[in-house]
Amino acid sequence: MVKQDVAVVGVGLTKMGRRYDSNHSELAWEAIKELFDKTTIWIDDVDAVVYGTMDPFDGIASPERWDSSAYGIARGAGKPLVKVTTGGTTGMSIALSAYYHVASGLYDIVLAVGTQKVTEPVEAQEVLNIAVDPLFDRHTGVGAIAVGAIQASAYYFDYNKKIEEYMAIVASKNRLNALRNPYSHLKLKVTPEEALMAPYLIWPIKLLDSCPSSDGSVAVLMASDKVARKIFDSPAWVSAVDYISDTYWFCCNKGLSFWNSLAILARRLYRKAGISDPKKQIDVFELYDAFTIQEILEYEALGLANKGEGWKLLEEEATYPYGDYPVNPSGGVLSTNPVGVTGLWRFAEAALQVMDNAGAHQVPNVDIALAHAWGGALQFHALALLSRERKLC
Amino acid sequence: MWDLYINNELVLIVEHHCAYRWCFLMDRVVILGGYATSMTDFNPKYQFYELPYVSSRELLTELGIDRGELDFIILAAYDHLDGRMISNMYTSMASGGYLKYESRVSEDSLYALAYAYMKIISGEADVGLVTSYATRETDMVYASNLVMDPLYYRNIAMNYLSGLALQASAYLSITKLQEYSDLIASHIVSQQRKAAANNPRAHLKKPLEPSDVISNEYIIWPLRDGMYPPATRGAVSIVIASEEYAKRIRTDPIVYIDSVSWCTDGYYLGNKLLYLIAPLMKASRKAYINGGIEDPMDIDLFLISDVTPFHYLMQIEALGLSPPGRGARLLERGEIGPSNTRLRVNPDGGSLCTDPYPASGILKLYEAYLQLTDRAGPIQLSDVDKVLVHGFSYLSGASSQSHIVTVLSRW
Repeated sequence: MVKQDVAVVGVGLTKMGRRYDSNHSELAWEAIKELFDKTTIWIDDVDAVVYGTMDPFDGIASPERWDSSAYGIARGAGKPLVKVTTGGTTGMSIALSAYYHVASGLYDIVLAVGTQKVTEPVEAQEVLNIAVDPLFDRHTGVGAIAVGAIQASAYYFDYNKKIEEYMAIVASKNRLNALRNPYSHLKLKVTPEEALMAPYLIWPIKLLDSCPSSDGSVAVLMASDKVARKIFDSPAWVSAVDYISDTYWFCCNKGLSFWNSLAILARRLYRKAGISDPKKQIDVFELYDAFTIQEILEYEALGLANKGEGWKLLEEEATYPYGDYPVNPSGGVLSTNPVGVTGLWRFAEAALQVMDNAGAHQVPNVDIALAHAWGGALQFHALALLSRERKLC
Repeated sequence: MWDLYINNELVLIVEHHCAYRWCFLMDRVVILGGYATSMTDFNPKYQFYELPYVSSRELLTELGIDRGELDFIILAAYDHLDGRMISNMYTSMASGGYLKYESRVSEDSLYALAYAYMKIISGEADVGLVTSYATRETDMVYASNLVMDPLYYRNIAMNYLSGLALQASAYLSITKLQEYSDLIASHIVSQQRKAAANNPRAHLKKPLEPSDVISNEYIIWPLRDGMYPPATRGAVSIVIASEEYAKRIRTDPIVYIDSVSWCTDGYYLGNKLLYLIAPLMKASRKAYINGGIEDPMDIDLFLISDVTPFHYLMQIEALGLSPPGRGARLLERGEIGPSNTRLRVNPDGGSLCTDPYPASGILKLYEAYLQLTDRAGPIQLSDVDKVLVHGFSYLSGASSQSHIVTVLSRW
């Protein structure tokens, strides 16, 4: 049990996409302004700020300092600010750090914010290539698409030779979901057949199996139980959060056709939150599906399907917005990927669903939502569970 | 303490609920131990992730704590200093983070301590590891220029040194000490170098006389060579735990974290008074209140990030140990120094002699831990019961934006 219960009391989003119209600070301010325009408090009431990004994409290191006026910390003597960055999980790491700012009792109102301009550098995959080891891996040109392809090919050989067909269903489902989300980057009405006909990037990943590179900013306001309901009538309570770090090296005991580390983390989180049957108890899932195969792997690791059988959920349409386990009603990462901020957007979308504020892509009767992000060399995972009720157990 | 008004606004606004919070934060957090590798020049013989491996491994062995007992790992590092993106992909597992909760701050490492502190007082964790390191694979001047915005400051070659020099010159101007700048700075550098000469853990151990310092070339006025931190390579790890956990496994002296507080101010130089370190003033006042300190003079030892001799003075003033602009008088009267003075500051030699940025903050924390447990060796001071440690994210932002303060005490 934490010292103070923590709730999400506000969310601000920018339109995601190629945002050549705004610089880094302006993009941050757009999300923050939207957040505070919708709440009863103003930026001056914030006790502390947690920021995150993947700086190399932005073409500027530590851009939060430049953006500090947007966070309202430039006035007077300033405010507490800390910057976290953990690769693809950065967005969720922002949320988790902000959560502990409040849960610790040190602060009552904390702004979690991330801004990413992936269109600033020449090419995102070239930037990602500088993440891998310069002695062993960098010369291969490996980037994010290659790691997605490694997972998909492992799944192909271990479980299902027709996996590409099911990946195409994920590509279609999430793109159609994105049509209902005004903030999404890609607005594509594609059928599974069309997705299957898309050109290969790296076998078996095709163009429509892959996420775009997006610019965008996300701001989430978290508050303690003392003040949450004064700010927003029906906040989303953060029931549990957790994070896991696996090894970098692919040669080690790292699951490729089954995401072992995510499965371990999910069990930890469920235990912490008192979730005994995620299929029955969790109403909506916002998962980090940078590549279609990953959503299928995530079904299995999160306990929605047996190992090697995640694709069956797609046959049953169980993960469509009207299905038993709606996954990524927002359109997910396949439609929008401001990389270092994407995790915070998953967290924000899960909160919006619980707060009944998701708009056209709202899933009915959401009491509990799960948000997920992965990062690094398929090695980091972060999970958060948000709920309508303050206490789950 | 001296409070400060800017534009008729009280800058040192210590929230009214702080006193209440002090009552609220009754659970205590302790430093179980620390380990620092040797502090050296750049050494290309090792991969960067070998450094945190050594400090983490040695510390856990020394404390007799199995890696499996750790609830979390918090790192402090910058991608652009490590020369690769997501450098914690390597350092997380090297620091014992395999299948653990892990996070990383890109700030001075005291911010990683703050994260760990929050994890523990939230009640969700009992024990964790904080690790930071400096490899010096990237030039700091170049790396800090990348921090500047591409529209205004990057093109005029702003970097951490020019930012610090601007503050120093503003300070000398407002205090009308320009003509004494060499005298003051060389005295401080010399006293710190002499202190470091006695510290087996310091990087630069060669003592310097003031005349040696004054004979150095200017880098950026008023900073001469030797008046800014050396490029130190090294790693530091700290184990932090709940009091309950600590008492379960230890019988020897325990070091408590009484409070941690941090603050960042604005980016644009025109929006702030460069000669005042307002975020440090704010952070320290909150740390004093949360740490139950009525008068900072009651603190026995200050370990500050004296990144230039002028920042040594500005930070002493910002901590409330001298009225603004009068720090040099403490020097003149011999009231401040590494030891045998009324105010004891940086007996280890400080950042001017050892600076494995961003591990600088927890290196100072480790030195504070050694002082509080009577293990500091040749630089051990007497009667050290309460220590203030200051961290400064000087690579992030323009001219002194982010400061963090923690107060430690002996059981």
